[in-house]
Amino acid sequence: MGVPAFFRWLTKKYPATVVNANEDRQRDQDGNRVPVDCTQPNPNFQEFDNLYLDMNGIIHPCTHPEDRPAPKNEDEMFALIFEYIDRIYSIVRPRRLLYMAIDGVAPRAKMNQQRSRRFRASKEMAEKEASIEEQRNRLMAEGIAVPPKKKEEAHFDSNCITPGTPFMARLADALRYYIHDRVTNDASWANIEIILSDANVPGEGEHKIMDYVRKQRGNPAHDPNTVHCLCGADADLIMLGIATHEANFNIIREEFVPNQPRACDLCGQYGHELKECRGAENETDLGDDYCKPEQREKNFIFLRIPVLREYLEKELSMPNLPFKFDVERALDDWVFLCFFVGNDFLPHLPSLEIREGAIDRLIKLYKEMVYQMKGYLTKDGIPELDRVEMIMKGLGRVEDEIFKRRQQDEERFQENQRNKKARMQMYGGGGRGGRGRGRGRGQQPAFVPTHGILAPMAAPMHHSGESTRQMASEARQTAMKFTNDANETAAANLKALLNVKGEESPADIASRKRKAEQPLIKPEEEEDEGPKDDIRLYESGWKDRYYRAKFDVGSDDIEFRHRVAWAYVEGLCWVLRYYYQGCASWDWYFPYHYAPFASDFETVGEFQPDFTRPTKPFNPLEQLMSVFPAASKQHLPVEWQKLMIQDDSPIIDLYPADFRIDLNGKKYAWQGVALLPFVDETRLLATLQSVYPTLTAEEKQRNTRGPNRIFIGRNHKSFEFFQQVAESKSDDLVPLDPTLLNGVSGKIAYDSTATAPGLPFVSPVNHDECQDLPTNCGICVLYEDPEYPQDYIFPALRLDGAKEPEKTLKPDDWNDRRDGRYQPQVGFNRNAPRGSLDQSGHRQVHHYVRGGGGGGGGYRGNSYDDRRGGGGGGGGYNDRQDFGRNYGGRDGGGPQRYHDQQQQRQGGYQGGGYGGGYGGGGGGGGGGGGGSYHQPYNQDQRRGGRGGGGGPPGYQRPPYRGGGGGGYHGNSSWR
Amino acid sequence: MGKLEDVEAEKKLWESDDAWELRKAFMLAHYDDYPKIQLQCLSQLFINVTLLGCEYSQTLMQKIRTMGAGIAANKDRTKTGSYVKASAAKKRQAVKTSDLEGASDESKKVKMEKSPSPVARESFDERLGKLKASLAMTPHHLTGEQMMKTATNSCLMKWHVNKINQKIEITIDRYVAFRHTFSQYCVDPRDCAINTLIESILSCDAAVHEESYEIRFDGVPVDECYAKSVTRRLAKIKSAVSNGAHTVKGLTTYLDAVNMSMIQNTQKLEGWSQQLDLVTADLLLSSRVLSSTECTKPAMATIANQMSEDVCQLILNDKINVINSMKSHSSLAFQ
Repeated sequence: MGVPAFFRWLTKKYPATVVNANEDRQRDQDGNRVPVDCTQPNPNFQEFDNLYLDMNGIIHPCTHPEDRPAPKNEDEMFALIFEYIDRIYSIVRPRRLLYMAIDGVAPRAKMNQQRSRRFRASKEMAEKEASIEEQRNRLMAEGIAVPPKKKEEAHFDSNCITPGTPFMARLADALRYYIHDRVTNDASWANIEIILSDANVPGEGEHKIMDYVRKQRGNPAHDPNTVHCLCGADADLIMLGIATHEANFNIIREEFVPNQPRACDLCGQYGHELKECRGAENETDLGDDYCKPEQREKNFIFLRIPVLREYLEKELSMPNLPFKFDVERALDDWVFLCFFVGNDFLPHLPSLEIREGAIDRLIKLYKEMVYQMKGYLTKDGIPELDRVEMIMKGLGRVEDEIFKRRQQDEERFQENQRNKKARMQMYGGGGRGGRGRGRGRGQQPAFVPTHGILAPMAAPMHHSGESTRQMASEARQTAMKFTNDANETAAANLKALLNVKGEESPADIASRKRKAEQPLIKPEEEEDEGPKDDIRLYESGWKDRYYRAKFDVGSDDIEFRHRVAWAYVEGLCWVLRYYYQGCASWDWYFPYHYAPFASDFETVGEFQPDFTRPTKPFNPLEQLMSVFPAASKQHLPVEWQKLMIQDDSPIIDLYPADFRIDLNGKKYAWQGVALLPFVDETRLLATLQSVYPTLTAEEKQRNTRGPNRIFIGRNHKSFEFFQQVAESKSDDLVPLDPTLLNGVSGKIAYDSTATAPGLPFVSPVNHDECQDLPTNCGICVLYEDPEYPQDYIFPALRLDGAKEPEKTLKPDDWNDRRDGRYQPQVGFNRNAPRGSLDQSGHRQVHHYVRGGGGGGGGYRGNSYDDRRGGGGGGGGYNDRQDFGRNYGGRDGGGPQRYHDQQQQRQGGYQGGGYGGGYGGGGGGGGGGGGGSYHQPYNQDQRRGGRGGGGGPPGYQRPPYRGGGGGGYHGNSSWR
Repeated sequence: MGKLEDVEAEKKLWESDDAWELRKAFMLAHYDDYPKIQLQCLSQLFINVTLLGCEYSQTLMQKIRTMGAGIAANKDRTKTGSYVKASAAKKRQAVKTSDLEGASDESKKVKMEKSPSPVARESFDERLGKLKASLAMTPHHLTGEQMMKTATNSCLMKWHVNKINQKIEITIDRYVAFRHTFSQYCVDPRDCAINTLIESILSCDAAVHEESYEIRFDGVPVDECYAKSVTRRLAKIKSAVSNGAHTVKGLTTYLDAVNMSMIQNTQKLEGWSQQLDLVTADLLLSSRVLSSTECTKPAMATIANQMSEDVCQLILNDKINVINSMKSHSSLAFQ
């Protein structure tokens, strides 16, 4: 979901949904990869059955990472992708199924968003190139050495991650190799099924996964207590997780760390922006220590849908309903309400801004209205529109007030900013003295003594004769300027700070004097107010102005407004159905750039959506033609490219060279609305007919809709059955036996492109870690989901036999006196072992912690029960059998070595029992973790990032230490 | 009437009436000249350009402008709101007011008022005349760069600033209009150059000098354009100078009125003395060597005032003439 702030809002409001992932170390101290044995029990004390990968969330960070140098070529990218999958696999360790889904051709409704993203991406790339070039030229003119230019062909166009491009075809081949390799060589892959849904299968990745889950659930063979884990960073995965109504559904994603250090685009060094770049040699370079690879390794976090359900159950509980309360239906309504605030397919309503608490507002409204509505908003993904109309009317009544309040907040914010700026200038911001780096620039102490014994001095240096003379002359000049009454001036300034404004104080005279001494001709500093707002939603008549400006219709055209509202409601029906039943219509889309107001939904109750018309998705190349700008034309066949650039092409209107972005009240261009023309489907397809004959065989292959593939290894129970199907070499679909396949049902058929088991498998990736397989031990066949009748409605319900997972949150009726102290649950499992220290351990930790700063919190020597403390102990958790394991998420090689020393020292340690010494070792590891973490953390703080808790990043650290983002609207991007 | 019905069938369900009226008018006007699919494309292009503000290749824009001339003219559609061109948008910075589009509406109106005559047959001198007219119409609160952009857009001309170290050359279409080598001390040669060009266009008659591919203002060769412009500007502020105070502050405001900003430069010399220069727009107005006792701030201020007094007298004097000279501090000097 394109709602950047949604995830942050959710984790702030419902913190216990987030659990930090424990993982085995991927690399040793020297940075070499260590194989992880995934047949061992899961380090998170929770076994997972199915792992689903939304591959696009993996491909993007691996191909053009934001916080490290880009991979040199495609082979390296593929190797990185494999490593990333391995890492997730080692955290989740699925026991039944791995499902990989790459985005295929998306429905039309998504196309507008994809189009605007890709057009913007190519513009942004051009803009970045230009600014690098400009800076380079500026430096060259100054005669500063500049690193050589990158080669043109080395540049990676992120737009090629779109179904239908040659890159995606190669990626699918590489993944097929990867699966065969792991099935052959990795014991933990031996007994699971792997399904690969590549870019030729139509549908977005996460929705292909959902379709699969939905269709499996409808089968009697499906185990209702399957533990699912879905990997991806989009916020809409949360909606999908709730929409499945599965008992145990989890989402794993990378933890988002705001304000990551970024390398300069020109010289690749850290510590400065492009604008401040001073070329190749640079004193301000903070070097590689500033951003070690270990620090860059991001943590993973789990988001537990069952816990979120618990929270929502509490929040949505409505006493004395006129009808029977059903949690599942209430949850579906919650999902529906979230779609108003934003989704990938519709622009969000102007009055609903997630950062202004829009979801809470909607839920409050909903709980009030339910009593009048006499029922739920939705059923099985189909909304009751008369009830939707009631809700929207309720929202429409307060819309006016929302806009007014937004304006007030904005003005107050501006005022604060101005005051802050003024304060900064007052206390010596004015460009004298050394300028700091990063965000704290211009902040200097209010008073620095300039002479006398307290004045800051430089380190002693040996000067040559000339420089001594220079210094002496400068000193004499300052002495000449220095007036005797400087002390009086300072005193007067102090008084002025204390004085009330009004009567003429000595300070005024002093300040006037100082004014005269200032340079007469000042560089003008222009006040940059934000873009001016002509719609003025906070003044009466806002609605007319909005429609006039955004839709080009007059104030009397009420009928048009209703038409927009109807289109929007049709969109809502489509979206909800998309999440609950699968894609209802491939060619529906919302044909406006802006959303209507809530108060325009007056007549919505009469609307009847109709998605019965059969539609089919675009072919991959057709989709490429409809989402690419002309700048990315190199991914298309040569003849097709001409249609994007020639003036007499019948579809040239789809490819503007430049377009407008309407800021729509926002501050940044990327938040605005890109005003791109919509695609005229019939004209596009008619035009493409003329170039279809020019395709080569390979391109034709890429342009088809393909099937899913299922892979299993030689030791799998169904291997013989699969082999029979493969050797029959017929295209007939054979139904699977779910009992032999961990409950997977569906149909399989012979795959003509697959490599048969026993033959060598040639690696398509040219990389050290991707060798050819001498004998392939995996088998690959085509796979089809189980079929359902045309008008089948998937019920949005709990399945029979689903066990309610153990409660995680503190029960409302918990009584400390009766039940004892409540222990909050930290991980997946209440019984998971926790780090704790006994007496002798405390002594040992105390001995080492006292000297150097250990963790963030103070060390509590006296409390023997250190479980709830954020103190020096309780940091790392060590497994009894294997001291090499380290569950502390972020510490790199350093603490591990520290810990090893601890162990050696323990050998000669006479006092204390084994338990004590062992605990001490654990604590030592934790303390070391704190130490190694401390320094970068400080740097982060100096750069303006506000981290959460200060404790060491150990097993017990508080869940989700989210930093407060900078800026009013939140500048850090969340996906 | 088959034609009308045929066009009516093109209306999309969601199209607003205003947009449809425009498109319909366009399609009816060119119904007989193009096959249907081309017509759909062209009408959509027309809408994208006029309503959404998209841009296409030069030739295509030209074609759409001529085809759509007179159709949008009867409608006054000034869009409100803040737009930014995608090509001007920065990734991680807030959008500044200077990035916003202020120019597009202006240029459109100017275009629509004229009858679309074939551009190629006009002589270049006439087009320069038009450029002058449209420059005079552009709002003066814009920066020089924005003014030039707006005016050249509306006259369908290209302009380009070429900067090699301190040498700046501005070309309009294929003629050189301005060339000058600034000194090292000039703070912003590019702005100086553009302001000069605008000033020259507005206050002189421009004519093309075919042999040298130059645009000459009042017949002055391009290389001396800058010097002449500064001379003219100094002449323009004469009346203000004669009425006002002759201090540094006063002089600064007069010069600001003609887009020249004044700077004081001090430089250490041998021993204890310093040199104080008053420089405006790369013209050395006055220079004096200060003895060691005069190096304090108050003393320097009074001396600067004296120097400005002299300069004012010089300006009031009738015979000022500025010529190119390559001194160390400036590229211009009084004759």
